[in-house]
Amino acid sequence: MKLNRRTFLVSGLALGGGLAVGLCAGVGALSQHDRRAHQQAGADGDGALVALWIQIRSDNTIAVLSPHTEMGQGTHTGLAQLVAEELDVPWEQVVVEQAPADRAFTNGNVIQGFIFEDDVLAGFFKRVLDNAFFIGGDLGSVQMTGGSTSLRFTGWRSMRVAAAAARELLIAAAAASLGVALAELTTGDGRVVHAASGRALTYGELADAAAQLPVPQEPRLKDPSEYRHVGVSRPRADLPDKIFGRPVYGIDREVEGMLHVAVAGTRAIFGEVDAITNEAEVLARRGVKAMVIVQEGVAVVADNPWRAEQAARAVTFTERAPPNAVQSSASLVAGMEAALEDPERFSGVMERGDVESVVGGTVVEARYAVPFLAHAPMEPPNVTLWREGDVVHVASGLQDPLGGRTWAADRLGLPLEQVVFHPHTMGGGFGRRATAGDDMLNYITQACTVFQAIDAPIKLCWSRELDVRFDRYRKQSIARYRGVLGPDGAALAWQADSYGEVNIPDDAASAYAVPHMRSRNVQEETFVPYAYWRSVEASIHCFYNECFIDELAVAAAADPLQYRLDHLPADHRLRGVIEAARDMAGWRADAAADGSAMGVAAYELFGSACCQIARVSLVNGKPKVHEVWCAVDCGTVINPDAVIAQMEGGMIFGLTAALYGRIDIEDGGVVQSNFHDYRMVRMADAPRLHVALVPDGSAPGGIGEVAVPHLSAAVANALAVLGERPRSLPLIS
Amino acid sequence: MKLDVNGQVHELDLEDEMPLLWVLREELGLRGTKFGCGMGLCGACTVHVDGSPMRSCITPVAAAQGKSVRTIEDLGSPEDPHPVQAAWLALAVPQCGYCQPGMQMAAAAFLEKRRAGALADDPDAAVTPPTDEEVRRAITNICRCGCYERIRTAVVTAGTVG
Repeated sequence: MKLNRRTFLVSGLALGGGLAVGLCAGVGALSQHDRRAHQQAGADGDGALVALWIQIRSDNTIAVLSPHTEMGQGTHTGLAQLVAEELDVPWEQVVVEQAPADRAFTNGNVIQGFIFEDDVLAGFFKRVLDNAFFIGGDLGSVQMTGGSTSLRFTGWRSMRVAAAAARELLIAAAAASLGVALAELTTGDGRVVHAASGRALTYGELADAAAQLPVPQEPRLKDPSEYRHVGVSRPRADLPDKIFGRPVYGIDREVEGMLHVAVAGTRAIFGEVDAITNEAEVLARRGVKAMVIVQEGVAVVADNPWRAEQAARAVTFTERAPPNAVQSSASLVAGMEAALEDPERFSGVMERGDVESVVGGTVVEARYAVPFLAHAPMEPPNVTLWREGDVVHVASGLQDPLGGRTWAADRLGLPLEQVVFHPHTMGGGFGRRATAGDDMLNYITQACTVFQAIDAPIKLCWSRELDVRFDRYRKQSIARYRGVLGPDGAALAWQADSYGEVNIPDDAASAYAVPHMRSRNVQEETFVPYAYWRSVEASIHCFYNECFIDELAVAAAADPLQYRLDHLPADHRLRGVIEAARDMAGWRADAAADGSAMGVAAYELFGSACCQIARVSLVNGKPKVHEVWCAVDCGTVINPDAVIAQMEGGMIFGLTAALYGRIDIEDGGVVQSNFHDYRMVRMADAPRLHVALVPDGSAPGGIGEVAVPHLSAAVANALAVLGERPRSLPLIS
Repeated sequence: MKLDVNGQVHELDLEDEMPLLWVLREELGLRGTKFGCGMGLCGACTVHVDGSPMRSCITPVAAAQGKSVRTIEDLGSPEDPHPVQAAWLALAVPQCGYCQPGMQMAAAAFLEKRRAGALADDPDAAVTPPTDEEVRRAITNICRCGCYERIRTAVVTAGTVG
């Protein structure tokens, strides 16, 4: 595999001896000579960023330094599998370590480099990454786990190639040491073996010498038929810690003499505290040490988190109403409705054919709506700060540790070198911990203000109420669809108008081969802060598109699943997953004798295609999802069990949004506050899940977000068989 | 006040109403028990009090006095895992893992009480694994990663052990 021209493989000496191999990015103009200098320096300069991901240590251990953080998606294990595969070593020999939050481990350039030179990515995806990266202002400040990219980009396109190069370096070192030809050497058990003479050297023994050799830029990669780690369900490295209750999360961080910070939030989003009106009373409470006005609230510092939280709940203050304090979900929707009526405000248009040219035929019209959503990771937002000499330490679980470090340094007014970041495994991410952009790290901002005020070690932890009310949200959106069917029922025209922020017409466009199609979007910002939410735009547009194709099928008196197949090009990737799900579920388009009905949705996102079929009943007038069949084509499966786990979890995440997910705005603030009014699917309403992997053998697609968007549409489509078709979410209010 | 946790008795000077969760985490350094909602809604803070699953975020520490508290730290170890933990490992249940100590404590209490109940009725009873429906009713904790399919299977699997 050839890397693109903005990236090349580098090697260096590992700290403490041994070989380190990785990637250098962003220096396309450098000559080979300059590259060598960069390698030897092992650090950045002239815009070059070196990420030495793989370390073969003198004691023969192989460490994978993962720039990506773990939130249960199995990234660390998957990356180790790819490295073990191309290094050709036994699984037991590889350990994964979290790379430091350092510019040497940025992946901004790596991913960006691929994006600009590679058209495999949808426009939507570019936008996601551009936002994430450019808000940071500097690609070198990004170390992002998001966009379902870890294995697709860092792993498959970069780290795997670096591992293959490392193997070739070790063989070359062995050839020199043993005085034999390269072709006489083999690998497989962590050694380079010369069978003819019975001699062998371990990778550890060869590492120092290998580090002195020029790095092959186009190493040979294994043929899939040679795989022994890829495609195998290796046990996830993060499981034992989690099962035996070890304190691995940011909230578990302990620092000598640490104080605890709780926050009393303003009524409105972006409310500003004017004055605390009962300061003396709160300060007199047991354990309370200080109070600090922070962004969107008052922080209370105490010697125990419960005392801090109780004190925060007792704080009274006056606040200046922000301009948004009169806004509500209803007023925002009214604004969206008006925007869709005004052709001047469409800023994104995707068009093929000419929808205006289609006259006559059966017209189908529908309007859809989805609400704001919060992320609600089980581990509430938290961060710990402490000082050691001139250096401030920051510990938290983030999807972008380097971005978090940079954000904290800026808030503290310190150069990056004076801030050390300690990445933790995350108790859920889902986009909440994705990026420093869009003020998503507002809790770190608050903590930095407190830290500057009192200069003592602190841990700030939000209550669940703060988490729900001061999250940054999946946007609220509405859409207006119009379709025209020909005399045979086939769709002739498809027009989709939708409202929202960062809408991308390409993404909103349907996969179906309708001759005349137009997708338009109004992209205007509201005051409600926006965040990536697991599956991002797909969580909205899959609902719209997959409900509407169903409505067209109903209007055509056709089987909705077959109707989808009839409208997909012969070589379209969705066909395989639709057929697999159909066969697995024993699909039927009409209601069954037991009063249940099936609904289907199929959608391609993050480089993978997925189809889900839900079997649904109405119980006391409310939808009850009994069973879901899911077929996914993610190209190449690296760890089957991890893929199945992400499909299962993604479906439940999507089902929560479908059934219950709803954040309402009143008077500029969020109405919901905890799990009683921001409900989650629990065991009692979790359906049986069936997952089939039907990979087509292409490069790996994403997994972490791929199963999320479908169930909203699939369940709505099933309900349409049983009665009135729902067109807005959530389905239970 | 005195508090018996995992077989050790601790002498503490605390407000009676401080939730057991924060006593465990902050005063005793047992951070395996997790804070999730503070309202007893999610179950991430589940511990055993005299063998019953309790949401420690809404259990005042005074209510646990004179009783025996058991936390995830005492459930099992890699060398000697509780049957629930063995099933959790075998089925790779956790994703982010944050809710899992509470989930496992809820599962362990359910299975242990169920078994004790069956044996109390008939000391020679062959304890059968729970049905899916029993598990659905028994486990009310929230897992935001949505691991319910595996949790249910793991509880049934663990139910056949011991």
